Amino acid sequence: MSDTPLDLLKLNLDERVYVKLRDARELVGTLQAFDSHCNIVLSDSKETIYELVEGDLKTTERFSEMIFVRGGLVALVTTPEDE
Amino acid sequence: MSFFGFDATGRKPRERKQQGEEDSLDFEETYQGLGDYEPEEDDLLNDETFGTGADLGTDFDFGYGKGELGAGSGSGRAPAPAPVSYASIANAKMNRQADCKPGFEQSLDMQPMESLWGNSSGNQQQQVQPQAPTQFQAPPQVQQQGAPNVEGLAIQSLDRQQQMAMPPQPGFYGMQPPQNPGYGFIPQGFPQGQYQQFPGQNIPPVIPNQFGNAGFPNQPVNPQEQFQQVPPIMYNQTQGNIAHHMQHPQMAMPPMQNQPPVQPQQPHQQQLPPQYLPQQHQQDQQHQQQHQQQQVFQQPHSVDTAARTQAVRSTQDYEHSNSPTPVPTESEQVPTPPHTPREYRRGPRRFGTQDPLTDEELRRLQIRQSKVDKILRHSGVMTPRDKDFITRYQLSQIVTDDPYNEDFYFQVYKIIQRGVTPSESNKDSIAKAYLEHSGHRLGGRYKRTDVALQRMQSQVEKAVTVAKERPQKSKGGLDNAKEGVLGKISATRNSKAPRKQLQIPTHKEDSPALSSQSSSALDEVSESLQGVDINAKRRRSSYALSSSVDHRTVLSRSGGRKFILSLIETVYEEVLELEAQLRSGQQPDSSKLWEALHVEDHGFDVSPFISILSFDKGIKIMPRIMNFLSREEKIKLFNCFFKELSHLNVIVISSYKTTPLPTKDQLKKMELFQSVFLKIIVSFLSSSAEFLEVMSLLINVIQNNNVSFITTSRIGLNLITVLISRAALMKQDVSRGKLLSSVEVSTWSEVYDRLFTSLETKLTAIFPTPEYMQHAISVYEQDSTQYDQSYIWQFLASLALSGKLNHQRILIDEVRDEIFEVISKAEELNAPSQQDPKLAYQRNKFYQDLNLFLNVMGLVARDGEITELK
Amino acid sequence: MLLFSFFKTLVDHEVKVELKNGIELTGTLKSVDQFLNLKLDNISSNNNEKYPHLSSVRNMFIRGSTVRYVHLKKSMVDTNLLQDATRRELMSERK
Repeated sequence: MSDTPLDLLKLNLDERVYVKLRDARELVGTLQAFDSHCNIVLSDSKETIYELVEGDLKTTERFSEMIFVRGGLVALVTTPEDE
Repeated sequence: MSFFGFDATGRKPRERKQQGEEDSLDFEETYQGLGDYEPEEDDLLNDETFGTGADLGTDFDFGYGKGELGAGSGSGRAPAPAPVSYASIANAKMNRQADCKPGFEQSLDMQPMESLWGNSSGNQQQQVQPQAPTQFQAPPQVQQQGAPNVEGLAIQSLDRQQQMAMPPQPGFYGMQPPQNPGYGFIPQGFPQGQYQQFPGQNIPPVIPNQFGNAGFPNQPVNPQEQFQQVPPIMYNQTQGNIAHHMQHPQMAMPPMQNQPPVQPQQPHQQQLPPQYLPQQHQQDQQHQQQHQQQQVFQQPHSVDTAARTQAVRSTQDYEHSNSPTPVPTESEQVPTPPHTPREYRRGPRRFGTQDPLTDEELRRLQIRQSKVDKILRHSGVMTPRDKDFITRYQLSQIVTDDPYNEDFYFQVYKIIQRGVTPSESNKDSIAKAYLEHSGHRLGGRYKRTDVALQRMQSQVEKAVTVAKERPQKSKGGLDNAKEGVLGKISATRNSKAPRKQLQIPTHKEDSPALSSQSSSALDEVSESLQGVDINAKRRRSSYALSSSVDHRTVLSRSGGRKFILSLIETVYEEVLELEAQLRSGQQPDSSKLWEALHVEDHGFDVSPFISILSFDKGIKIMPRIMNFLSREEKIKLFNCFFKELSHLNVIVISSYKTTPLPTKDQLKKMELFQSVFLKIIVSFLSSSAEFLEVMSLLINVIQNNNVSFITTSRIGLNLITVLISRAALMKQDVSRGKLLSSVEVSTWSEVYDRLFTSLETKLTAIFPTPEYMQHAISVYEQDSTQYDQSYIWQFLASLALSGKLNHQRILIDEVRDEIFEVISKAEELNAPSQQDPKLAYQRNKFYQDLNLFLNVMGLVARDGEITELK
Repeated sequence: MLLFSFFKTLVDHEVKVELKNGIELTGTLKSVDQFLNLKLDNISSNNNEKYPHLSSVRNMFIRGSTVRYVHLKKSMVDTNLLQDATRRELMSERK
């Protein structure tokens, strides 16, 4: 069983995944493609940006039909909680 | 406080003197001019090396003088250089060197300085002169001609020809990354090739200084070089013979290449030009003077040239190894004087018949000129060899010999888009695309594009071979150990397989526990029931009737989500490999694929195959699997499928009993299953299924499932409909050649009976609740205001068709209420205006669906009544 | 090569590139290379007031490492093929 982490990620192709990026951003989308650098392509994605605005936590959400994410920013990929 | 008389006050000596201090030292007085160096005997070539009288400034315009440099900077410089391209200089120099080979060899002969050793110098000069000019006149070939008078004639003819010569297109050099194709035609057109004349050019006079030092390849300054580069040829040609004589020893100086003449590197080229400074007004005496100087200086620098030769030779080797086919340099080096006005291009044509340029032509001229200028501003900065190198390198990155392996997505995408297999090879398309992109403006002559394309293709092929060799070199030998300063860098470990820092013991027993993730109460119930020894059928059906059959439970009973996903990925990999094998013509081996499907794996409560079908991607891969399975394997697969229908996720989510409120995603899943898997079943049944096999499938459904539950699901009902209608079709299909045997007939009637029995009294269950229908419509977001019940009536129709009279009577009896409900709904739609097409359509549809069933029994519903079908 | 291959099919399509510094640029993708550097033509910036210095620029070369996202449309992508290409890439990497 030579399961590299990327092999495990492969199991989630075409499934909903949760991607955590380096700067307080999250993405949830259907995993369409990735490579060894963790460049990722997601479809039907929702991006959540967390910001501190005047001491309060502000959450911004953006939707994208199809999005390419640069691998250098990816911190974590897993399955989403609710879906 | 000071010692040694140091004055710490910081005053200048003069000031101090003025203030009357004794013993103050005046810098000027004491300075013995040590800083004003005498020309040192040992640094003989300083001026030539570093230049004289030129203010270098700090910003350089590598164009031809049109750059907006700071006005202040270059104020002390030589007047703005004429716009000349390095390329042309390169060409000039190249040709020089091509011609000068023998002369060069001579210079490398380490001849003693004649002037030092006596009066054989005069003879030597004589020898040198005739050789050089003859070379000069036979450009690509280095030949030796004889007498000077031949040379004289030749020069005159050259002069004449130059006047008629058509300068090459200015944009030429800069525009084409692959140099070879473009340059193919110019030299052929003109014997002189590179010897173009630029009579219109305004070459500023050379600073006489230059000439004092002239003759040394490492001549100075950029600005001067720039305008020197083009004229050299011209000037040499227009001047007298002596000028030629002068130049050639110099030409001989720079390191000469072996044949075939290979482009020397740019710096070398730039060293030459200063020699070709001669002005039109220069006198012969001056030349003589130079020549003597040059002779004097020649020998000491033969050492230098030798060194340079070595350098160049080594680079040549490098070039040769890199470019197996020598770049046809002559063809490449077309001098492109940027300022060549359009008139020159049209020279031959317009010669003698000067039509006045119309306004439009003028405008076009201007536009074209500005474009040309833009391009030429930076042309010649790279040599053609450099550009070729870059092109080949880029191509080698892009081009691969096996596009399907490396460039899968792009290749297949293109094929899909085009809808047809490409006729040309991958390399050709790259060559064409690259060529089109770079523009093959070869003077608009069509023949040339073919040449260009061929050359481009050859380049691409070269790049491919380079690319092929590259990975093989590294693959050869497991441990291409790179020797670092700190030791070997092992290739067995890399970023993809780093050395494991932690060894985590994996216990196989843990995995089943891990795979069952669910912990709900339902799961406890389900698990507790697992141990109970109930009749298999009832056990499964009891699950089906429980409030919800949890998908996660089913997954865990078939090995776990991760396990199933890994199975799916294995299946995908196998399919991709098999498809690749097909593509390359090999015979695909499907054994691994069959194993991966786990159809025959009875080690789990629920077959993993069924769980595979609960994932969208599992469903999507099914059609492609069918290509590689044998008929027996397909039958086994379908049997397994029908046997465990109740556990199929789509069934569960499409049943209004277990999923009363389906989500949009679930509905999408149902659609996907319907369009993909159902199609496979139908096509298999219609093409290669035997009657008895259909029977066995039906038996599997009946025996192992709660048929009534299955009928509450749209998908399930469709599946049963398919089976029944297929059986009926087979029975009626006389064209098959043989009628059903009695065994088959009796089997069919028995199966039908059992099916009917399982459905009897529960037939109304196949109709979903109104709430469900309402919800389904709203989620679909379609225009239709009514739930499409056609599948229900189809089922009833097929059931009625294969049934006997009493079966049909029971059927009608049970669904009587539903029949009348449909009719009344249809009539309701009749009441409002009949012109509304949507309502009319809906009304018709109601009747249509109903009559699917009624017609089988000889009845028809129309306009609110049921009558006999005639 | 996977993502490079992917981007090659997107040439001449309009994409929106979001850089790590927040600049969003919509333009036509003209070229891509193995490092996923991008060349965009006919740029229009989404946040003009915040980053006015791009208003005069029409075409640009973007270094791949500065990209955060590239937004696309579903119609530009064949998702099944893309997934298969990913699987193939991983298969070949493993060998």
